[in-house]
Amino acid sequence: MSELALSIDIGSTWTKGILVDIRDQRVLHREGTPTTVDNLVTGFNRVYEALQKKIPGNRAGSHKPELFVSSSAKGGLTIAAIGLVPDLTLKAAKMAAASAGGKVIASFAYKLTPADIAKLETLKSDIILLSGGTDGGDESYVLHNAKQLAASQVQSYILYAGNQAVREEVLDILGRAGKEAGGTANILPDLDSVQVDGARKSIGEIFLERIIEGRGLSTVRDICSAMPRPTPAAVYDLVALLEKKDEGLLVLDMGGATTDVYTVSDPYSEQSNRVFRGLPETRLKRTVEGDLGLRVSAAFVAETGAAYIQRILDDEGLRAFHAWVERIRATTGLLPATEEEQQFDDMLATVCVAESIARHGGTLTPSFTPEGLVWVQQGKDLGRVHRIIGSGGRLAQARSINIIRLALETYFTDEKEPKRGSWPQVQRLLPHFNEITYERDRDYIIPLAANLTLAYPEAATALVQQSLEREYIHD
Amino acid sequence: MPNLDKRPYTIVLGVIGFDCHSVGNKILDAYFTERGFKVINLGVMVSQDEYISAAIESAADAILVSSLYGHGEIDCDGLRGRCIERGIGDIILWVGGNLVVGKKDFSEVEAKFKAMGFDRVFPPDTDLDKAVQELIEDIEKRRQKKAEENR
Repeated sequence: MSELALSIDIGSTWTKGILVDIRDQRVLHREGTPTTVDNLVTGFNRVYEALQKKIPGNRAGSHKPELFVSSSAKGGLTIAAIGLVPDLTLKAAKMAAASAGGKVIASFAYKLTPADIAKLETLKSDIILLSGGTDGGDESYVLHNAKQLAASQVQSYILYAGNQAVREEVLDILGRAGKEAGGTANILPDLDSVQVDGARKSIGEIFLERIIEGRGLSTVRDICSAMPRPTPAAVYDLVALLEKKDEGLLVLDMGGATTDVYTVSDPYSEQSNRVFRGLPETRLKRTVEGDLGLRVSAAFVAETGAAYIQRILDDEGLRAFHAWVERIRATTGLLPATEEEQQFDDMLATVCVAESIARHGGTLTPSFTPEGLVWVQQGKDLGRVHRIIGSGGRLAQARSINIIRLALETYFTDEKEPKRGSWPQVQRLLPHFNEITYERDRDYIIPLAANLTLAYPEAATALVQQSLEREYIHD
Repeated sequence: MPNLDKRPYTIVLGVIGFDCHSVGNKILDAYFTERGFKVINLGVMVSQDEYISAAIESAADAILVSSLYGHGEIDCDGLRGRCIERGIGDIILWVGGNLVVGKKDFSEVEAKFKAMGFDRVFPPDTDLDKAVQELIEDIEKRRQKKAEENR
């Protein structure tokens, strides 16, 4: 075992790296530079060389440090998902894409229309995830869709993860049309189980072979000790290890364009008058909200959270707030300079946190039956989450505790307290505010530690523990 | 009867509407599974579209609807139409249970549900052995018809 390791993450705005002593489970040095979008390798080399220089003299002669790299630069890994029924295979396809570290930029159900094909041709996603039919189930839709893709100008890699009975036939149709395509296990082999593992593995391989190449990172790949990965795929594996004692963990990663939510928790609560509907939920789950972020997506965030923001600000405050949103949208590198701007940024962050957690979780809908009131659960119950970790630039700061507090305690207040005597309303299955402990990832170590997860799981989790700062959410 | 199509007989089971009676549903699941059927059991409180979605993805041969709480008539009406709309108009539809409230002659109930588009209608006391035989016959007939259409 090499004693030293380098971990570098090429993010959309920053390229960061650490030099780690694996045996002592310690960060020896840290480097960062703005990501060089025109040529990612320039920024990478800057960090790589700076870290090399920090290798202690007495150890430079021994083993060369291992190198682990992840990337989410240039829009990350974009995926267009195709399924059959929206609530079944299409939903499973989106879950699989998210778990593999992808960002779903479009989704299509039933038969692909000429307009759908035109959209796929313009979007140019890295991967098209084609699914439909349980194993031994429907064949006609995937065959139809494969023929439409074959006849199109689409150049994305097509990964088939549908009914295995026609896998060869689908790949044959695509192959004869000169499309780059491959097959993997069905994401929904039967209606009782979503199986994301096969698709995750294949998407990781495609990322390595095609996307690393396409982003000009093949020289980086050649010096790596393990295959470079999409950043969220690495984080997904790390988060799975961070949960202990069935406590129920939720990890937030909020950036300028997107907010990622990972949970490791029991998806159901045992309650006698509850029934569950829809696709089964998984214990380990990732969702990525492409429209919730602090900079690029700020205008949309302000619109989404309008009701909340209007509750807090008066007319004058609102005008100043919207002016700030306009400014950060135009200049995404802008940081708050005044206390007021800081407050506006915190409000945007609160909207991102609250909305992304709410979308990650499910709902309870009241239903009156001859046997009384029954609650119908759809989606994951986050009531089993008892620990939250905040990561990403804004959540690394000490004041992030207020963001979490507001998001969980007051953001949805209007909905929480129904008027006395009114009918039960639809409820969101959010974490119970009173039962939560909160930690922030002070050094924003999670993406960098995540790189080490597969090779050195103990060191990876130890580095995260060292960076976590407990903040007291309750007075 | 020989199974011409190699796929197992696939059926979608569930209790329709706001009905939470789960015991009979579990018995049907166990019984049909034991007799070699591939059973997709949606459990209780199943909506019309959930049956149809499950049947589309799994290319099911039949949908077996249960209703125990007396509101079957309201819940089941329009199911055939939705099947046609969503592309599986020829699927076998069965319904059974305590389909209506009060004591009514079963032949009346049967006529009513057949008019809604159900292929067979069953009272609460049904011989499951016989039902299995009938289901296999219905499925074989439908598969042969489909095969002829494809020729």
